[in-house]
Amino acid sequence: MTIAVNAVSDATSFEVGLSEVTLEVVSISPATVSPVLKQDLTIAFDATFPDINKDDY
Amino acid sequence: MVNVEGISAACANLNCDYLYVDSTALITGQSLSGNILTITGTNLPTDLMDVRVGRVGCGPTTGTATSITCTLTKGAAAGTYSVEVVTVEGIVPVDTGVATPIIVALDATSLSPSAGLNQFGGDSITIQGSGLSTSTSDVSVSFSDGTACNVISSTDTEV
Repeated sequence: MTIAVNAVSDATSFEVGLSEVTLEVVSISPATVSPVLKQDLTIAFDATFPDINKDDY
Repeated sequence: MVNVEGISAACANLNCDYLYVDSTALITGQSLSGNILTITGTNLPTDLMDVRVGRVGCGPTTGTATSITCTLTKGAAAGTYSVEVVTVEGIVPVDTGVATPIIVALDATSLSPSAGLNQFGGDSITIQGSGLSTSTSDVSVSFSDGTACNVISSTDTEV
């Protein structure tokens, strides 16, 4: 990981370790939907799912 | 039309007096040791209004006609600077041919946490050190694969 301020970089690059996370869908509700009507689906993920990246979905 | 350093002098009527006094003060040296700023020069003013390095102010000041010393109110962000000394008469010029620029280095000393980060993002990382900036727009953080880390907050000692 590298940090820079005003285009001046730090001489030291830090190493960071990532943990492997399995993305798991816990539930989808409702279980059945109409083929013609517009409906909202609620998808619940495992608690480890990163919630600040909603824009990525 | 009278212009001083690109600024037009306005005159309400045709009988307009204008007096320009060239500065006799000149900064010939500038150095920063920790947060202690030392300025040397000739005919340096004592009626200082503002002394700063980049966006960081310096004070209280003590000085003579040849030397000014003050303490930065916080750490300056990494970069290359000339001091800015302001009096009621304007900015004291710096002899850039003589005065070596002030170089503030970036020194990140710790990063936390350094392990167990969610590979899909969402974790907060805290970086401490010196030469950091109070403006998040000055700071960029990235992983070795080029992925940027969104800077949420920043002080002169912690991002």
